[in-house]
Amino acid sequence: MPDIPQVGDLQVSQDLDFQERSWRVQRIGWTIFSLILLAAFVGLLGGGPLSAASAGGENEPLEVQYARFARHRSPTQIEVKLQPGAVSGDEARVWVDSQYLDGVELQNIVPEPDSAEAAPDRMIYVFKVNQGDQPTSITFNVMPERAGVRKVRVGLDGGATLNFRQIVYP
Amino acid sequence: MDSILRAVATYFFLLLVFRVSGKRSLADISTFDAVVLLIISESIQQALIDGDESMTNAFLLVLTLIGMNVLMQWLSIRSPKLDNLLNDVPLVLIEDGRVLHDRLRRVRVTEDDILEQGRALLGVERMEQIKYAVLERSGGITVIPKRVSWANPDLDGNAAAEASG
Repeated sequence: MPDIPQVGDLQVSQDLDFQERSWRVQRIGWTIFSLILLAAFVGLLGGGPLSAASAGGENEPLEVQYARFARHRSPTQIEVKLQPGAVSGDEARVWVDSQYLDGVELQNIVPEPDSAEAAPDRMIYVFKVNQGDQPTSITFNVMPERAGVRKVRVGLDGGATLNFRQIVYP
Repeated sequence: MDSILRAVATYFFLLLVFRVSGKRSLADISTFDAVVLLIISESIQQALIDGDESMTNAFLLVLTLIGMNVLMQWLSIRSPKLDNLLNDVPLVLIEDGRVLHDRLRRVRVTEDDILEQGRALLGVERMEQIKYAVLERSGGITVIPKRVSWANPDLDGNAAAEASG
């Protein structure tokens, strides 16, 4: 075996250049891993302070709280808050666009809607509400089935519409 | 197709993590390493099967993982560069009786580790009796004491130079 390098009496394929390079790569690798862990810790990979987001707001009839970063097949919530005066009468008609619903498994809605209506591009859920001067919230528990950037549109039938994005990690 | 892609992705992820974390990460499994290994397999399992608990899926995963392993071995026999990338290179830690402390530190090996290996296999009593110690690609340490070195047929390690020279 002519090609095997020799170290002293020892025939061993030591490769110090490669060794140095691999140590450098290991250091870089660990820096990257640490950054990933740090990102996960603050919620950039789902489920942390930086992941909590909301659309709409105090002065609008509708507010939605959601996770900016969700994970494939990991339950997440979309909480729709109806501000006082958002609904006239005792019925709230909240819709979610069907493109988003196609990419998730809708596990349940709290409170349960009274009825649901399918429109070409959206699903309309009808809730009985008894609204005083406090906001009312409706929670959609969903489990994302598709990874990628998902556009979400939620609104009140004949009223305000909110747009937001949700990033679903594989 | 999904499960095959998942298995391939998992294979490369684990390969990357273990290569980056260094040689010593799982060789010479201690009790705690074994626990960590178990937890790793448990955590990766969910992502690997992804709710598909069929036998078809399980068999496909096993075939893919074993297949990847065989493929990588096949490739690394043909390409020494790839072989180095996948399996690392050996590193001499004690050269002709000289302990290379800088290297020991960088590969997280202590003199105790080397002595332990020497005691276990060759009845080495003291550091001075060791001629070579090598951190092998597998992450294990091999020790060649002066008295069993082929270059020193004599029991006295110092006689070697005269004999060969």
